[in-house]
Amino acid sequence: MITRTPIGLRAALVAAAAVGWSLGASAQMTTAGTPINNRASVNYSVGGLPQAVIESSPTGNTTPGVGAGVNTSFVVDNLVDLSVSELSGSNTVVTPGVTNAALSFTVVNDGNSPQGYQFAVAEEVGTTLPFGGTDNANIGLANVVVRVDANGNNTYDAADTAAAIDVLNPNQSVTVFIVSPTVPLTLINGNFINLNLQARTAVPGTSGGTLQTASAGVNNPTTVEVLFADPGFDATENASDQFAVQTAGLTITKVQTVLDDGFSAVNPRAIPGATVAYVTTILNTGSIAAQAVSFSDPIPANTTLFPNQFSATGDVGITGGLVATCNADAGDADLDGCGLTAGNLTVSSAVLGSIAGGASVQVQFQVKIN
Amino acid sequence: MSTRTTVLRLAMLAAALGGATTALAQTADRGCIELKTVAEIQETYTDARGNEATRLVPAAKVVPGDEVVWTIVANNVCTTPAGDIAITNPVPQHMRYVGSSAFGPGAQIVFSLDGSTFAAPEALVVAQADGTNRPARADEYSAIRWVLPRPMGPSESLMVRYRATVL
Repeated sequence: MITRTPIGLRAALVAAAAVGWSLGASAQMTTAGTPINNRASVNYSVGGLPQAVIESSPTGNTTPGVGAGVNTSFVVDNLVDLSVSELSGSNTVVTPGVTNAALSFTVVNDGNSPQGYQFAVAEEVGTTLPFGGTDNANIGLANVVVRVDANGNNTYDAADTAAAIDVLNPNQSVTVFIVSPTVPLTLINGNFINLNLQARTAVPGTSGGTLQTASAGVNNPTTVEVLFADPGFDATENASDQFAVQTAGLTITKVQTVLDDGFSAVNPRAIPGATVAYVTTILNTGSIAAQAVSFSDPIPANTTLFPNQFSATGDVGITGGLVATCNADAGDADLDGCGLTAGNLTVSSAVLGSIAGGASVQVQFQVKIN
Repeated sequence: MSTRTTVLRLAMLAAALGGATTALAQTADRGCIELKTVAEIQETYTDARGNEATRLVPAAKVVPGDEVVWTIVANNVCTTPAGDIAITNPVPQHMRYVGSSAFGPGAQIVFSLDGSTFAAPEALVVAQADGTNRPARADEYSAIRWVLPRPMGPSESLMVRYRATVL
Protein backbone atom coordinates (compact mmCIF):
# COMPACT_ATOMS: atom_id res chain seq x y z
CA MET A 1 0.00 0.00 0.00
CA ILE A 2 1.54 3.25 -1.15
CA THR A 3 0.09 6.61 -0.39
CA ARG A 4 1.33 10.05 -1.14
CA THR A 5 2.50 12.10 1.77
CA PRO A 6 -0.64 14.08 2.49
CA ILE A 7 0.49 17.64 2.23
CA GLY A 8 -3.03 18.95 2.18
CA LEU A 9 -3.59 21.55 -0.44
CA ARG A 10 -6.15 23.40 1.59
CA ALA A 11 -3.83 23.37 4.60
CA ALA A 12 -1.04 24.65 2.38
CA LEU A 13 -3.16 27.45 1.04
CA VAL A 14 -4.46 28.36 4.48
CA ALA A 15 -0.88 28.40 5.73
CA ALA A 16 0.04 30.52 2.75
CA ALA A 17 -2.68 32.99 3.64
CA ALA A 18 -1.57 32.99 7.27
CA VAL A 19 2.00 33.97 6.44
CA GLY A 20 0.83 36.53 3.94
CA TRP A 21 2.11 34.87 0.82
CA SER A 22 1.21 36.63 -2.31
CA LEU A 23 -0.04 33.82 -4.45
CA GLY A 24 -1.10 36.08 -7.27
CA ALA A 25 -4.26 38.06 -7.70
CA SER A 26 -6.66 35.27 -6.83
CA ALA A 27 -4.50 32.72 -5.00
CA GLN A 28 -4.84 30.61 -8.09
CA MET A 29 -2.91 27.41 -8.28
CA THR A 30 -0.39 26.58 -10.94
CA THR A 31 -2.34 25.36 -13.94
CA ALA A 32 -2.16 21.68 -14.81
CA GLY A 33 0.36 21.05 -17.55
CA THR A 34 2.68 23.89 -16.51
CA PRO A 35 6.29 22.66 -16.70
CA ILE A 36 8.48 23.33 -13.68
CA ASN A 37 12.08 23.67 -14.74
CA ASN A 38 15.13 23.73 -12.52
CA ARG A 39 18.81 24.08 -13.31
CA ALA A 40 21.50 24.54 -10.70
CA SER A 41 24.99 25.82 -11.41
CA VAL A 42 28.38 25.48 -9.78
CA ASN A 43 31.28 27.90 -9.75
CA TYR A 44 34.69 26.66 -8.70
CA SER A 45 38.38 27.14 -9.17
CA VAL A 46 41.27 24.87 -9.94
CA GLY A 47 44.72 25.80 -8.72
CA GLY A 48 43.34 29.16 -7.64
CA LEU A 49 42.05 29.96 -11.12
CA PRO A 50 38.28 30.47 -11.50
CA GLN A 51 36.76 28.00 -13.96
CA ALA A 52 33.79 28.35 -16.32
CA VAL A 53 30.43 27.76 -14.67
CA ILE A 54 28.89 24.31 -15.01
CA GLU A 55 25.15 23.86 -15.12
CA SER A 56 23.29 20.81 -13.96
CA SER A 57 21.35 18.22 -15.91
CA PRO A 58 19.02 15.43 -14.76
CA THR A 59 21.75 12.84 -15.26
CA GLY A 60 24.85 14.91 -14.54
CA ASN A 61 26.59 17.47 -16.76
CA THR A 62 30.26 18.31 -16.97
CA THR A 63 30.19 20.55 -20.03
CA PRO A 64 31.15 24.07 -18.95
CA GLY A 65 29.37 27.19 -19.97
CA VAL A 66 26.04 28.92 -19.60
CA GLY A 67 23.40 27.04 -21.58
CA ALA A 68 25.32 23.75 -21.57
CA GLY A 69 23.10 22.28 -18.86
CA VAL A 70 19.68 20.69 -19.17
CA ASN A 71 16.64 21.51 -17.05
CA THR A 72 15.39 18.97 -14.56
CA SER A 73 11.65 19.18 -15.25
CA PHE A 74 8.25 17.86 -14.45
CA VAL A 75 4.79 19.04 -15.36
CA VAL A 76 2.21 20.05 -12.79
CA ASP A 77 -0.49 17.42 -12.74
CA ASN A 78 -4.26 17.79 -12.80
CA LEU A 79 -5.43 18.29 -9.25
CA VAL A 80 -9.14 17.50 -9.01
CA ASP A 81 -10.82 19.27 -6.14
CA LEU A 82 -14.29 20.70 -5.81
CA SER A 83 -16.69 21.95 -3.21
CA VAL A 84 -20.46 21.99 -3.11
CA SER A 85 -22.35 24.17 -0.66
CA GLU A 86 -25.89 25.21 0.00
CA LEU A 87 -26.34 28.79 -1.16
CA SER A 88 -29.12 30.44 0.80
CA GLY A 89 -28.49 29.34 4.38
CA SER A 90 -32.19 28.73 4.82
CA ASN A 91 -34.83 26.35 3.54
CA THR A 92 -37.14 27.10 0.65
CA VAL A 93 -40.81 27.39 1.59
CA VAL A 94 -43.13 25.78 -0.94
CA THR A 95 -46.85 25.25 -1.27
CA PRO A 96 -48.20 22.11 -2.91
CA GLY A 97 -48.93 22.76 -6.57
CA VAL A 98 -46.46 25.64 -6.90
CA THR A 99 -44.26 25.46 -10.01
CA ASN A 100 -40.48 25.73 -10.40
CA ALA A 101 -39.60 25.70 -6.71
CA ALA A 102 -35.81 25.68 -6.49
CA LEU A 103 -33.05 24.86 -4.01
CA SER A 104 -29.77 26.66 -4.73
CA PHE A 105 -26.24 25.31 -4.41
CA THR A 106 -22.80 26.59 -5.34
CA VAL A 107 -20.30 24.33 -7.09
CA VAL A 108 -16.67 25.51 -7.04
CA ASN A 109 -13.76 24.14 -9.05
CA ASP A 110 -11.02 24.12 -6.41
CA GLY A 111 -8.56 22.38 -8.72
CA ASN A 112 -5.99 23.64 -11.17
CA SER A 113 -7.58 22.54 -14.42
CA PRO A 114 -10.96 23.01 -16.15
CA GLN A 115 -13.47 20.31 -15.22
CA GLY A 116 -17.01 19.25 -15.99
CA TYR A 117 -19.55 18.05 -13.46
CA GLN A 118 -22.49 15.68 -13.44
CA PHE A 119 -25.15 15.69 -10.77
CA ALA A 120 -27.39 13.35 -8.83
CA VAL A 121 -30.12 14.06 -6.31
CA ALA A 122 -30.90 11.88 -3.31
CA GLU A 123 -33.78 11.97 -0.88
CA GLU A 124 -32.65 12.08 2.70
CA VAL A 125 -34.58 10.38 5.45
CA GLY A 126 -34.60 11.57 9.03
CA THR A 127 -31.75 14.02 8.64
CA THR A 128 -31.84 17.48 10.16
CA LEU A 129 -30.38 20.53 8.50
CA PRO A 130 -29.02 23.39 10.58
CA PHE A 131 -31.76 25.72 9.47
CA GLY A 132 -34.71 23.39 9.25
CA GLY A 133 -36.80 20.67 10.75
CA THR A 134 -36.18 16.98 10.52
CA ASP A 135 -36.81 15.41 7.15
CA ASN A 136 -40.22 13.76 7.37
CA ALA A 137 -41.39 13.41 3.78
CA ASN A 138 -40.19 12.53 0.31
CA ILE A 139 -40.91 14.65 -2.69
CA GLY A 140 -40.27 11.78 -5.10
CA LEU A 141 -37.19 11.97 -7.29
CA ALA A 142 -39.43 11.97 -10.37
CA ASN A 143 -40.60 15.37 -9.22
CA VAL A 144 -37.17 17.04 -9.21
CA VAL A 145 -34.56 17.91 -11.81
CA VAL A 146 -31.12 19.50 -11.64
CA ARG A 147 -30.53 22.72 -13.55
CA VAL A 148 -27.38 24.81 -13.95
CA ASP A 149 -27.60 28.60 -13.71
CA ALA A 150 -26.82 29.71 -17.26
CA ASN A 151 -26.89 33.48 -16.86
CA GLY A 152 -25.20 33.88 -13.49
CA ASN A 153 -28.17 35.53 -11.78
CA ASN A 154 -28.34 32.85 -9.05
CA THR A 155 -32.06 32.53 -9.76
CA TYR A 156 -33.71 29.64 -11.53
CA ASP A 157 -35.31 30.83 -14.74
CA ALA A 158 -36.18 29.69 -18.24
CA ALA A 159 -32.60 30.20 -19.46
CA ASP A 160 -31.35 27.48 -17.13
CA THR A 161 -31.81 24.28 -19.10
CA ALA A 162 -28.57 22.31 -18.68
CA ALA A 163 -28.54 19.42 -16.21
CA ALA A 164 -24.72 19.20 -16.09
CA ILE A 165 -21.70 21.51 -16.24
CA ASP A 166 -19.74 21.17 -19.45
CA VAL A 167 -16.68 23.21 -18.43
CA LEU A 168 -15.90 25.10 -15.23
CA ASN A 169 -12.53 26.81 -15.04
CA PRO A 170 -10.32 26.66 -11.94
CA ASN A 171 -11.28 29.00 -9.13
CA GLN A 172 -14.69 29.59 -10.74
CA SER A 173 -18.06 28.78 -9.26
CA VAL A 174 -21.53 28.29 -10.65
CA THR A 175 -24.96 28.04 -9.09
CA VAL A 176 -26.84 24.77 -9.48
CA PHE A 177 -30.52 24.25 -8.66
CA ILE A 178 -32.62 21.31 -7.62
CA VAL A 179 -35.92 22.27 -9.21
CA SER A 180 -39.35 20.84 -8.57
CA PRO A 181 -41.32 21.68 -11.73
CA THR A 182 -44.55 21.12 -9.78
CA VAL A 183 -44.52 20.51 -6.07
CA PRO A 184 -46.74 17.43 -5.52
CA LEU A 185 -50.20 18.06 -4.11
CA THR A 186 -49.73 15.06 -1.83
CA LEU A 187 -47.43 17.05 0.45
CA ILE A 188 -48.99 18.56 3.52
CA ASN A 189 -48.34 21.41 5.87
CA GLY A 190 -45.29 20.80 8.07
CA ASN A 191 -43.51 18.47 5.66
CA PHE A 192 -39.73 18.93 5.49
CA ILE A 193 -37.98 17.43 2.49
CA ASN A 194 -34.19 17.28 2.66
CA LEU A 195 -32.56 16.80 -0.72
CA ASN A 196 -28.88 16.12 -1.34
CA LEU A 197 -27.09 17.35 -4.43
CA GLN A 198 -24.06 15.30 -5.40
CA ALA A 199 -21.55 16.66 -7.89
CA ARG A 200 -19.11 14.30 -9.59
CA THR A 201 -16.14 15.62 -11.54
CA ALA A 202 -16.30 14.86 -15.24
CA VAL A 203 -13.93 15.25 -18.15
CA PRO A 204 -14.39 18.82 -19.42
CA GLY A 205 -16.25 19.15 -22.69
CA THR A 206 -18.31 15.99 -22.22
CA SER A 207 -21.37 17.75 -20.76
CA GLY A 208 -20.76 15.83 -17.58
CA GLY A 209 -21.06 12.56 -19.47
CA THR A 210 -17.62 11.06 -18.84
CA LEU A 211 -16.47 10.87 -15.26
CA GLN A 212 -12.92 11.89 -14.47
CA THR A 213 -10.71 9.01 -13.35
CA ALA A 214 -7.56 9.21 -11.27
CA SER A 215 -4.44 8.18 -13.17
CA ALA A 216 -3.11 4.81 -12.14
CA GLY A 217 0.09 3.00 -12.84
CA VAL A 218 3.56 4.33 -13.50
CA ASN A 219 3.98 8.05 -13.06
CA ASN A 220 5.47 10.09 -15.80
CA PRO A 221 7.10 13.45 -15.14
CA THR A 222 6.28 14.67 -18.65
CA THR A 223 2.57 13.85 -18.76
CA VAL A 224 -0.31 15.48 -16.93
CA GLU A 225 -1.80 12.95 -14.57
CA VAL A 226 -5.13 13.20 -12.79
CA LEU A 227 -5.05 13.21 -9.02
CA PHE A 228 -8.10 13.45 -6.74
CA ALA A 229 -7.50 15.85 -3.85
CA ASP A 230 -11.00 16.49 -2.55
CA PRO A 231 -11.76 15.46 1.05
CA GLY A 232 -12.87 11.94 0.11
CA PHE A 233 -10.35 11.58 -2.73
CA ASP A 234 -13.23 10.55 -4.98
CA ALA A 235 -13.77 13.75 -7.02
CA THR A 236 -17.28 13.82 -5.56
CA GLU A 237 -18.78 16.28 -3.13
CA ASN A 238 -22.33 16.99 -1.99
CA ALA A 239 -24.51 19.32 0.03
CA SER A 240 -28.09 19.31 1.26
CA ASP A 241 -30.93 21.77 1.26
CA GLN A 242 -34.54 21.66 2.27
CA PHE A 243 -38.03 22.27 1.00
CA ALA A 244 -40.39 23.29 3.82
CA VAL A 245 -44.01 22.69 2.89
CA GLN A 246 -46.47 25.25 4.17
CA THR A 247 -50.14 25.18 3.27
CA ALA A 248 -53.34 26.77 4.49
CA GLY A 249 -55.78 24.29 6.00
CA LEU A 250 -59.30 25.53 6.66
CA THR A 251 -61.67 23.98 9.12
CA ILE A 252 -65.19 25.23 9.32
CA THR A 253 -67.41 24.94 12.36
CA LYS A 254 -71.02 25.96 12.55
CA VAL A 255 -72.87 26.43 15.83
CA GLN A 256 -76.60 27.08 16.15
CA THR A 257 -78.32 28.68 19.10
CA VAL A 258 -82.02 29.34 19.63
CA LEU A 259 -82.11 32.87 20.94
CA ASP A 260 -85.74 33.66 21.58
CA ASP A 261 -88.96 31.71 21.16
CA GLY A 262 -91.21 34.50 22.44
CA PHE A 263 -92.00 32.54 25.56
CA SER A 264 -88.89 31.76 27.54
CA ALA A 265 -85.72 33.78 27.55
CA VAL A 266 -84.08 31.18 29.81
CA ASN A 267 -84.67 28.06 27.77
CA PRO A 268 -85.96 29.05 24.37
CA ARG A 269 -87.36 26.29 22.14
CA ALA A 270 -87.11 25.88 18.41
CA ILE A 271 -90.73 26.59 17.64
CA PRO A 272 -92.19 28.54 14.77
CA GLY A 273 -91.39 32.21 15.22
CA ALA A 274 -88.29 31.52 17.26
CA THR A 275 -85.01 33.20 16.39
CA VAL A 276 -82.00 30.97 15.71
CA ALA A 277 -78.47 32.32 15.50
CA TYR A 278 -75.84 30.58 13.37
CA VAL A 279 -72.15 31.26 14.07
CA THR A 280 -69.75 29.79 11.53
CA THR A 281 -66.03 29.86 12.36
CA ILE A 282 -63.49 29.39 9.55
CA LEU A 283 -60.09 28.53 11.09
CA ASN A 284 -56.85 28.36 9.13
CA THR A 285 -54.95 25.49 10.74
CA GLY A 286 -52.06 25.92 8.29
CA SER A 287 -49.03 28.11 8.62
CA ILE A 288 -49.54 30.48 5.71
CA ALA A 289 -52.46 32.67 4.78
CA ALA A 290 -55.46 31.27 2.96
CA GLN A 291 -56.22 33.90 0.37
CA ALA A 292 -59.50 34.96 -1.25
CA VAL A 293 -61.68 33.01 1.14
CA SER A 294 -65.37 33.07 0.30
CA PHE A 295 -68.29 31.46 2.04
CA SER A 296 -71.65 30.09 1.05
CA ASP A 297 -74.37 28.74 3.30
CA PRO A 298 -77.95 27.73 2.40
CA ILE A 299 -80.54 29.37 4.56
CA PRO A 300 -82.12 26.29 6.22
CA ALA A 301 -85.44 25.12 4.87
CA ASN A 302 -88.46 26.43 6.71
CA THR A 303 -86.58 29.42 8.00
CA THR A 304 -86.26 33.01 6.83
CA LEU A 305 -83.25 35.27 7.22
CA PHE A 306 -83.76 37.66 10.11
CA PRO A 307 -82.38 40.93 8.79
CA ASN A 308 -80.72 43.90 10.46
CA GLN A 309 -79.51 42.04 13.53
CA PHE A 310 -75.91 43.35 13.47
CA SER A 311 -75.16 46.99 14.28
CA ALA A 312 -78.84 47.73 13.60
CA THR A 313 -78.55 47.56 9.82
CA GLY A 314 -76.40 44.55 8.98
CA ASP A 315 -77.87 41.18 8.03
CA VAL A 316 -74.57 39.37 8.46
CA GLY A 317 -72.00 39.97 11.18
CA ILE A 318 -68.31 39.39 10.38
CA THR A 319 -65.52 39.03 12.93
CA GLY A 320 -61.93 39.02 11.64
CA GLY A 321 -62.88 39.97 8.10
CA LEU A 322 -62.45 43.15 6.12
CA VAL A 323 -65.81 44.61 7.17
CA ALA A 324 -67.96 44.18 10.28
CA THR A 325 -71.37 43.80 8.65
CA CYS A 326 -73.00 43.42 5.28
CA ASN A 327 -76.44 43.04 3.79
CA ALA A 328 -77.86 39.81 2.44
CA ASP A 329 -79.80 41.46 -0.33
CA ALA A 330 -81.03 39.56 -3.36
CA GLY A 331 -78.18 38.88 -5.77
CA ASP A 332 -75.94 41.32 -3.88
CA ALA A 333 -77.49 44.23 -5.71
CA ASP A 334 -75.70 46.69 -3.43
CA LEU A 335 -72.33 45.10 -4.27
CA ASP A 336 -71.24 44.96 -0.64
CA GLY A 337 -70.06 41.37 -1.01
CA CYS A 338 -72.97 39.66 0.71
CA GLY A 339 -76.11 38.45 -1.02
CA LEU A 340 -78.88 35.90 -1.18
CA THR A 341 -78.90 33.83 -4.30
CA ALA A 342 -81.30 30.91 -4.77
CA GLY A 343 -81.65 30.51 -1.03
CA ASN A 344 -77.90 30.60 -0.40
CA LEU A 345 -76.23 33.21 1.74
CA THR A 346 -73.00 34.17 -0.05
CA VAL A 347 -70.13 36.09 1.52
CA SER A 348 -67.43 37.03 -0.93
CA SER A 349 -63.66 37.33 -0.52
CA ALA A 350 -64.13 41.12 -0.60
CA VAL A 351 -65.67 40.69 2.86
CA LEU A 352 -63.57 37.86 4.29
CA GLY A 353 -60.21 38.68 2.70
CA SER A 354 -57.38 36.28 3.54
CA ILE A 355 -57.03 34.32 6.75
CA ALA A 356 -53.55 34.20 8.21
CA GLY A 357 -52.10 30.93 9.47
CA GLY A 358 -53.67 30.14 12.85
CA ALA A 359 -56.26 32.93 12.49
CA SER A 360 -59.99 32.63 11.98
CA VAL A 361 -63.01 34.61 10.83
CA GLN A 362 -66.56 34.28 12.03
CA VAL A 363 -69.73 34.73 9.98
CA GLN A 364 -72.95 35.17 11.92
CA PHE A 365 -76.54 35.47 10.83
CA GLN A 366 -79.93 34.83 12.33
CA VAL A 367 -83.10 33.23 10.99
CA LYS A 368 -86.66 32.97 12.15
CA ILE A 369 -88.39 29.60 12.04
CA ASN A 370 -91.35 29.79 9.74
CA MET B 1 49.39 19.86 -29.09
CA SER B 2 49.52 16.08 -29.49
CA THR B 3 49.18 15.63 -25.71
CA ARG B 4 46.01 17.71 -25.65
CA THR B 5 44.48 15.66 -28.47
CA THR B 6 45.15 12.49 -26.55
CA VAL B 7 43.42 13.84 -23.47
CA LEU B 8 40.48 14.92 -25.58
CA ARG B 9 40.17 11.45 -27.05
CA LEU B 10 40.34 9.97 -23.60
CA ALA B 11 37.59 12.29 -22.51
CA MET B 12 35.42 11.32 -25.47
CA LEU B 13 36.13 7.66 -24.76
CA ALA B 14 35.05 8.17 -21.17
CA ALA B 15 31.86 9.80 -22.35
CA ALA B 16 31.24 6.96 -24.76
CA LEU B 17 31.62 4.47 -21.93
CA GLY B 18 28.76 6.16 -20.15
CA GLY B 19 30.60 8.42 -17.77
CA ALA B 20 33.41 6.26 -16.55
CA THR B 21 34.36 7.00 -12.99
CA THR B 22 38.04 7.41 -13.77
CA ALA B 23 39.10 10.93 -12.84
CA LEU B 24 40.35 12.85 -15.82
CA ALA B 25 42.07 16.11 -16.39
CA GLN B 26 39.97 19.14 -17.23
CA THR B 27 39.52 20.05 -20.91
CA ALA B 28 37.83 22.83 -22.82
CA ASP B 29 34.55 20.93 -23.19
CA ARG B 30 34.69 19.02 -19.95
CA GLY B 31 34.81 20.75 -16.59
CA CYS B 32 35.98 19.30 -13.31
CA ILE B 33 32.56 19.21 -11.67
CA GLU B 34 29.72 17.00 -12.78
CA LEU B 35 26.49 18.62 -11.62
CA LYS B 36 23.16 16.83 -11.42
CA THR B 37 19.72 18.08 -10.31
CA VAL B 38 17.04 15.60 -9.25
CA ALA B 39 13.39 16.28 -8.39
CA GLU B 40 11.75 13.90 -5.92
CA ILE B 41 8.77 13.74 -3.65
CA GLN B 42 8.45 12.04 -0.30
CA GLU B 43 6.20 9.03 -0.38
CA THR B 44 4.75 7.20 2.60
CA TYR B 45 4.59 3.45 2.23
CA THR B 46 4.21 0.37 4.35
CA ASP B 47 7.36 -1.68 4.56
CA ALA B 48 7.67 -5.47 4.63
CA ARG B 49 7.12 -5.57 8.39
CA GLY B 50 3.97 -3.49 8.17
CA ASN B 51 5.53 -0.29 9.46
CA GLU B 52 4.89 3.05 7.89
CA ALA B 53 7.99 4.54 6.33
CA THR B 54 8.88 7.28 3.91
CA ARG B 55 11.08 7.27 0.85
CA LEU B 56 11.90 9.63 -1.97
CA VAL B 57 10.53 8.79 -5.39
CA PRO B 58 10.94 10.66 -8.69
CA ALA B 59 8.67 13.71 -8.87
CA ALA B 60 6.23 12.48 -11.46
CA LYS B 61 2.81 13.03 -9.94
CA VAL B 62 2.97 16.55 -8.56
CA VAL B 63 0.07 18.91 -7.96
CA PRO B 64 -0.19 22.35 -6.37
CA GLY B 65 0.49 22.18 -2.64
CA ASP B 66 2.96 19.32 -2.96
CA GLU B 67 6.48 19.64 -1.68
CA VAL B 68 9.26 18.69 -4.05
CA VAL B 69 12.67 17.70 -2.74
CA TRP B 70 15.39 19.14 -4.97
CA THR B 71 18.71 17.36 -4.69
CA ILE B 72 21.85 18.68 -6.37
CA VAL B 73 24.87 16.40 -6.56
CA ALA B 74 28.33 17.68 -7.44
CA ASN B 75 31.17 15.25 -8.25
CA ASN B 76 34.77 16.26 -8.72
CA VAL B 77 35.63 14.30 -11.87
CA CYS B 78 39.20 15.64 -12.13
CA THR B 79 42.44 14.44 -10.64
CA THR B 80 42.99 17.79 -8.99
CA PRO B 81 41.17 19.40 -6.08
CA ALA B 82 38.49 21.94 -6.90
CA GLY B 83 38.25 24.97 -4.65
CA ASP B 84 35.92 27.90 -4.10
CA ILE B 85 32.92 25.62 -4.74
CA ALA B 86 29.63 27.55 -4.86
CA ILE B 87 26.48 25.78 -6.02
CA THR B 88 23.65 28.13 -6.92
CA ASN B 89 20.02 27.21 -7.61
CA PRO B 90 17.21 29.66 -8.31
CA VAL B 91 13.94 28.54 -6.74
CA PRO B 92 11.97 27.39 -9.82
CA GLN B 93 9.13 29.44 -11.16
CA HIS B 94 5.71 28.38 -9.72
CA MET B 95 7.44 27.22 -6.55
CA ARG B 96 8.10 28.60 -3.05
CA TYR B 97 11.09 27.68 -0.95
CA VAL B 98 10.19 25.85 2.27
CA GLY B 99 11.81 27.59 5.22
CA SER B 100 14.76 25.86 6.92
CA SER B 101 14.71 23.05 4.38
CA ALA B 102 18.08 23.76 2.73
CA PHE B 103 20.95 21.67 3.92
CA GLY B 104 24.38 20.70 2.69
CA PRO B 105 27.00 18.94 4.81
CA GLY B 106 29.84 21.28 5.61
CA ALA B 107 28.48 24.02 3.38
CA GLN B 108 27.58 27.55 4.33
CA ILE B 109 24.08 28.29 3.00
CA VAL B 110 23.15 31.79 1.87
CA PHE B 111 20.01 33.08 0.20
CA SER B 112 19.08 35.78 -2.24
CA LEU B 113 16.00 37.90 -2.74
CA ASP B 114 16.99 39.35 -6.11
CA GLY B 115 18.88 36.37 -7.48
CA SER B 116 22.24 38.11 -7.56
CA THR B 117 23.23 39.17 -4.03
CA PHE B 118 23.44 36.45 -1.43
CA ALA B 119 23.49 36.68 2.35
CA ALA B 120 22.65 34.73 5.49
CA PRO B 121 18.92 34.75 6.38
CA GLU B 122 19.37 37.21 9.25
CA ALA B 123 20.96 39.73 6.87
CA LEU B 124 18.09 39.66 4.35
CA VAL B 125 15.57 42.45 4.79
CA VAL B 126 12.66 43.78 2.78
CA ALA B 127 11.95 47.50 2.60
CA GLN B 128 8.41 48.39 3.64
CA ALA B 129 6.16 51.24 2.58
CA ASP B 130 6.84 53.16 5.80
CA GLY B 131 10.58 53.17 5.14
CA THR B 132 11.50 50.56 7.73
CA ASN B 133 12.93 47.15 6.94
CA ARG B 134 11.53 43.85 8.02
CA PRO B 135 13.26 40.47 7.97
CA ALA B 136 12.70 38.60 4.71
CA ARG B 137 10.50 35.53 4.89
CA ALA B 138 11.77 32.20 3.64
CA ASP B 139 9.07 32.07 0.97
CA GLU B 140 10.51 35.28 -0.49
CA TYR B 141 13.90 33.71 -1.25
CA SER B 142 14.44 33.50 -4.98
CA ALA B 143 17.74 31.62 -4.95
CA ILE B 144 19.87 29.47 -2.69
CA ARG B 145 23.66 29.14 -2.67
CA TRP B 146 25.82 26.56 -0.96
CA VAL B 147 29.39 27.71 -0.40
CA LEU B 148 31.92 24.99 0.49
CA PRO B 149 34.68 26.47 2.65
CA ARG B 150 37.15 23.71 1.74
CA PRO B 151 38.27 22.21 -1.55
CA MET B 152 36.66 19.09 -2.96
CA GLY B 153 39.24 16.38 -3.50
CA PRO B 154 39.36 14.22 -6.63
CA SER B 155 36.36 11.82 -6.88
CA GLU B 156 34.75 13.56 -3.93
CA SER B 157 31.01 14.02 -4.01
CA LEU B 158 28.84 16.70 -2.44
CA MET B 159 25.07 16.53 -2.08
CA VAL B 160 22.91 19.52 -1.20
CA ARG B 161 19.16 19.58 -0.89
CA TYR B 162 16.12 21.77 -0.26
CA ARG B 163 12.37 21.55 -0.50
CA ALA B 164 9.96 23.80 -2.37
CA THR B 165 6.17 23.84 -2.64
CA VAL B 166 4.31 23.89 -5.93
CA LEU B 167 2.03 26.92 -6.01
